[in-house]
Amino acid sequence: MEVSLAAPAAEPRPKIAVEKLVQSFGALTVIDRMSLSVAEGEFLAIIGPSGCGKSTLLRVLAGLVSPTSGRVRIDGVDVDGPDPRRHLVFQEHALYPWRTVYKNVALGLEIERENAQKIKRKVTGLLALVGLEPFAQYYPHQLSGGMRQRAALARALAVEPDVLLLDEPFGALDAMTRLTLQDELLRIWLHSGKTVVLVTHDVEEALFLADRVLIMTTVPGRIREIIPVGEKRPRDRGSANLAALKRTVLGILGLEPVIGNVRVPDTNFSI
Amino acid sequence: MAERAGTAEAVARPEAHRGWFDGFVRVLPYAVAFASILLGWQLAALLFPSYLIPPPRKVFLRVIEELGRRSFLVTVGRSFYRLAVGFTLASALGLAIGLFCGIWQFFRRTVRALVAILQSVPPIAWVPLFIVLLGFGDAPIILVIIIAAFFPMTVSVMNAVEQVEALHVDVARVLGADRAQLVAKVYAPAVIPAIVTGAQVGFGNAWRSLIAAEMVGGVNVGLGWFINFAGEIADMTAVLAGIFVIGVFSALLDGLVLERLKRRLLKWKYL
Amino acid sequence: MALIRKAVGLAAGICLMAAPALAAEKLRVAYVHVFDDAPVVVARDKGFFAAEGLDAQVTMFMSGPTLVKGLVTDQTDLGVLGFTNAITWAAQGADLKIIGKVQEGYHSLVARNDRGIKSLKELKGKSLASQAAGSTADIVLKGVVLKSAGLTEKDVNLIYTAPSTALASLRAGRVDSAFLFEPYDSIAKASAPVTEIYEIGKVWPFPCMVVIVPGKLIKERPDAVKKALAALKRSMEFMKEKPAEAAKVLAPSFMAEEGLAMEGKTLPADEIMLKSLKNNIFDWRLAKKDLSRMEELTGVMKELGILKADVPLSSVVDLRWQNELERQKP
Repeated sequence: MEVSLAAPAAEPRPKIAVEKLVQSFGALTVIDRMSLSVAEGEFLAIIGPSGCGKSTLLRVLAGLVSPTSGRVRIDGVDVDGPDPRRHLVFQEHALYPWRTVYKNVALGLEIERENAQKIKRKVTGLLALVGLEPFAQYYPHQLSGGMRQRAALARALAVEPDVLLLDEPFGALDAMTRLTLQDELLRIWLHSGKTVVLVTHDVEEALFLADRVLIMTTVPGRIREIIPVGEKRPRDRGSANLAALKRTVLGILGLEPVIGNVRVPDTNFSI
Repeated sequence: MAERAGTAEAVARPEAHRGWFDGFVRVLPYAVAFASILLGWQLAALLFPSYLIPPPRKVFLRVIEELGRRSFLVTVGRSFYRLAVGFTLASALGLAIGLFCGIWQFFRRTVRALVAILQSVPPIAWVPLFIVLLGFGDAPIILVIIIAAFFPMTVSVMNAVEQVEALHVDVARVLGADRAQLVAKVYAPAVIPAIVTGAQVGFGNAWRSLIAAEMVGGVNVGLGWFINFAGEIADMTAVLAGIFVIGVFSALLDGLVLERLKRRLLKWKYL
Repeated sequence: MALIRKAVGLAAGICLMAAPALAAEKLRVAYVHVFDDAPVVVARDKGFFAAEGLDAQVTMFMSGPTLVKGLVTDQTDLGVLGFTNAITWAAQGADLKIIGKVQEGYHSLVARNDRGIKSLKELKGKSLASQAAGSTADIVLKGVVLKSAGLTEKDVNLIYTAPSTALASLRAGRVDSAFLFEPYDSIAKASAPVTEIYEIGKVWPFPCMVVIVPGKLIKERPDAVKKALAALKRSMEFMKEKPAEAAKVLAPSFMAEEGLAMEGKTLPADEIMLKSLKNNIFDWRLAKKDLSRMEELTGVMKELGILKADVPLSSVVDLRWQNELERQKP
């Protein structure tokens, strides 16, 4: 299914607006004056070395942590606490070991105090969507890592968030499962039109999935560069375009010399 | 069982017909221990005059005789009644306070300090004081039982609450749970294993304190009282019969009731 | 040769010097911490044991049933305690002998004035603080006192507790009545709103505290037995002739703990002691009437289910030394 991408600028109001966000924990400044806007329905990937604050950024967006200073707005309203309309999927599956898969997926709906009928309908539907229907009564420790993440996704989708935040959701999985789940995530996004912010350390993953790739510097975290990925979907993971972009990104991250240029650290690099 | 697709971790389950063998293996250590106690006892009975240490056979016959006597059943029943009331209250109290402590920092520090000071006082040391405060009868005994069972339970739950995965809490918060829902859906189920271990330790304490308190005074029925009185009127056979009954009942209660309960509550762990 | 003679001489000298010390026989004497056993305390503190040539190591026990266990396990040689303890253990096969008397039972049943208990019958359904379960006093309470009013132990809420706790509970109103001996009885009457509704000594006198020894002691050390009884006899005579002095000797042992227990009311310890002395009958002779009472009580114990086998009194009572002491009297 081909989807043409609109350039993210010039939207009436961005879904997510971050203005001069500073996040410090004690003396350590993790995020330093970051400003960013994400359009509705956009898929944004965030890449950076470990410890650069990408997870913290997601936690701030999710409302789990209050910003030290600066403003974070979703739908024009300041974020002042967690809300099911913006759901955060963690790297570890974080499923409750004492609940079956079914009950885990139902968790959000229970919290929203939905009636049993509706829960049953939704949960069975979602389990079918992520291919876990035969495992509904199993416990998390009986499933593989990939299946657990699928359950986590199902749990996320159950509460129908507008904004889906994912913190390295496939980082702990093997390469093949990762690819499968990337496809599934893409499928879900294309169907639902949600706004997705994905944090990952996998450059190829970011380039395969996202409309824009945001590169962060390490402590303190700042935006180094934002690279639009103009390629139409479905994308070919092995395409030359993506490969070139990958080299660019790696070069910016200081991990690979860019062809024809000498790497100069600490400067704004462009091709 | 449904076929497992993909890479689900299937743990091999022992076949059903091995059940009897497992049962035998589980009971064997107890049988051996019991036999060695009997042997030691018989030897002692041979060395000492029978009015000091009656032989096992005499005591067993007495046990059977007493179990047919209404007054004995009433006395044992009263002990159980005190234990049931005290232990239930202690468990409920320990769970409630343990949960509160886990969630509210200040409360936790205060309770920890109190526990550190009070828990080293042997529960039956409180009996004289309680008799003065509450009068004679069941009340002081039940209070002593509560104290004996309460501390291990509370400490166990408090520690478990501190170790509840922040991740699990975050998941619930992100799904929009309020504080009460956090307690009910995250903290409480997460600490159930700790409750069970705390309860097992607490039960042992409670049982011991029950018998001791009944011996110290203020009552005229109960298994501890029965043993005490028998000792006063030179009826050592009854003393040992009472001790035997204590041992058997304690083992039964722990092995049958508590162990079963534990398996039921933690079935997700044992699957 | 001279050296050997000197050595022998030295040895003989040492032996002679040690002779008086060796002459004092060691005897482990035990008594129950109740005023009923006052003669033992007097014998110890006034040196009557020593005067008979006994080096008495006196130990105190909190109850008769506890003391008798010491006799049966050879941890003490001679005990003064309630006689039923000898019977219960003899029924089980222990070799114990009753060889003399010390005190006749004095136990008064006091009831709080505000509980409407005017006689024994009204004890039904009320609470009664009693002595150590299974003690002589307890047996008498159940099998004689309550029985005389047609009550059984099921009709009354019996609470077994130490006498000082019984006293405190009585004063605090936590218990309706109590079965007390001295000095608690006198203290209760002086410090709490209670009335005595029954006293066993008046209605049904019986031998309570007796001297009990293991049969082994009689066989191996008859001399020690004789001396101990003589010392106790002297002690009881002293208490009769000089009660004021005896009261002084006894006060520290029996009043020390109670002296502080009165808030606001100061009760002179000596007074309480004198009252207690007057109320109690201390006598060293087991008479025929005593023996028949003991037979009766043995029957009561069987009725109460405390005694499982028959114990003929003659197998437990041995009055040889008592008879000897009587013959010795001028």
